[in-house]
Amino acid sequence: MAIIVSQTTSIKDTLSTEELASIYRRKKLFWANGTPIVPLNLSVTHTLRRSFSRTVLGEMPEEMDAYWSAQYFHGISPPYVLASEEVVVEFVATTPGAIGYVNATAINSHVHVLLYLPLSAEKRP
Amino acid sequence: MRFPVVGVGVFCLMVLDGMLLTRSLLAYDLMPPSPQWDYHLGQGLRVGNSGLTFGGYGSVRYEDLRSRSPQLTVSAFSVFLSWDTGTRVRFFSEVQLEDFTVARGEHSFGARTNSVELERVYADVYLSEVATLRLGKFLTPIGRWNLIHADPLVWTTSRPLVSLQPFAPDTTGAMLYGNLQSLGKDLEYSVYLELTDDLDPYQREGPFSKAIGMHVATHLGPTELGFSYAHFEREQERTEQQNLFGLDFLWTHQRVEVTGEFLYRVGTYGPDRDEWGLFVQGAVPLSARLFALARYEFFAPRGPFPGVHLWVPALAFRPLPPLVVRAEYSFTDNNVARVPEGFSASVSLLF
Repeated sequence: MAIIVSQTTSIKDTLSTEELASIYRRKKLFWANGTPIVPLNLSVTHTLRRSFSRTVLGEMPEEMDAYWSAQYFHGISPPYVLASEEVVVEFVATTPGAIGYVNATAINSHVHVLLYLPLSAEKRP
Repeated sequence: MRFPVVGVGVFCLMVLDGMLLTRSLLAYDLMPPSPQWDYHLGQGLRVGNSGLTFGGYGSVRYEDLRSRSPQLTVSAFSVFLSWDTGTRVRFFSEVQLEDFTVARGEHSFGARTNSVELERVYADVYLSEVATLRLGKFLTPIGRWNLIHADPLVWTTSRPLVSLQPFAPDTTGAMLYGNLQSLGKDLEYSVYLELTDDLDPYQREGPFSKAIGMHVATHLGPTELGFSYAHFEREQERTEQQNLFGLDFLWTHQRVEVTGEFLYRVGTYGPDRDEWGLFVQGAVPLSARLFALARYEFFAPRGPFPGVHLWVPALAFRPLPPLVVRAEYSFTDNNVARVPEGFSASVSLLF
C-alpha cells in the first residue's frame, strides 16, 4: 500500500505512521508549509481502507463512529471518501495538500510516494 | 415486578440487535464538497462549496425521580453552524434550547420553555503545526466529560456532578491548543484565559469572572491520561480565588470502555470551602449495539456536609452511530446534598 501526495506538495520526504494517524484523525490539519491537508479515504468496505484503518489507526472504520461523532460536536469532519483508487490518484495529483493511499501498482508519475505500508488481512471470526 | 420487565426488555433488544446487520450503518462517509447541498445524518448539512455546515443534536428525556412528579422534557436542542474552507481560520457556533418541559405529572400536555443560549461561538486561527489560537466562547478544557457532554455522545442520561459543579463549563476568552507530535512528543495541550463574561447573559452556571488554566493529555498504551489545572474566581464568589486540580483517563479494549475523573477544588477560606469528587464508569457490550453501563461517583460539596455516594446502572442502545436510547436508575446513600435519584430514560440524536 502506497501513501501518496501530489508532486507539487512541498513536504519532507517521508512520514511516520504516528503523523499519518494524526492526519487521518484530523488532529494535524496543515502541512509544515501551511498548505491545508486533505486526507482521502476509500469506501468503508474497500480492502485497502480496512487494512489502512487497522494498520495506521489501530481500529476498524466502524469502531471510529464514536470518535467522529465527537469530532462533529467540535466542527471537525472526517476525511473525504472517494469511489476508487484511480479517482484517489487523480484527486491527489490535482489537489495541493491532498494525501491518500492506493495499491503500489496504481501510482503514476503525477504523484509522489511518501511511505509504503504492508497490507494486513482482516481476521474473520 | 420491575426487574423481570427490564430483563424481558433487554432480551428483546438483544434479539432485535441480532436480526439487524452485524456491521453498523456508517453515517460518516463524506464525499468532497460539490455545488450541491449534501446532508448526512450525524454529520450535518453542507451548503455546496461554501464551507458552511449546519447540524446539531436533540434529546428527549423522561424522568421519574424521587420526590418529584414524572416529567417529559426536551432536555436539549442544539443547532451548530460551522465554516471551514481549509484556510487558516475556521468558525464554529452552537445555539441551544434547554429544558423545554413538555409534560409534568398527571397534567395535560403543555409547554414551558426555559431559555435559548449561545453555548459556543469561536474562531480558530492556525498559527503553526503545534499551535492554534481559539478566540470566543468555548468549552472549558477541564477533564473529559465537559468536552463531550452532548447527550448523543455520552453513555448516560445523567451527568457526574464532579464534571460540572466545581467549575464553569465554558470560558469566554482565548485558548492556545495543539498537538506536539511534530516535535516527537505524544502530548496534546490547551492553555486558556477568561477575558469577559459578556457572552453569558443568564450566568446560570456560575461563570468565571477570572480564570487561567491548562489541560494536557498523553497516551500510555491503550489508556489516555489527562491532567487539568485552573486558577479562577467565579461571578457569584468574586472575593474567593480558587485552584482546581484534575486527573482523567480513558481505557478502551475491544469495545469495552472504562473512564474516570478526579477533581479537587481548593478554596481560599479553609477546607470547608474545598470541593472534590471522582467517578469511574464502565461500558460493556452485550451485543453489537446494546451496552451495559455502571458508574460510581463520590462527591463532597463545599461546606460542612458529608460526601455522597452515587451509583448508576444503565443500558444504552445504539441502533445507528448518531442515535442512542438510554435507561438508568440512580441511587445514593447519605444524600444530604439532595442529588436527584430515580429512573430516567432518554433518546438522543446527532443530526
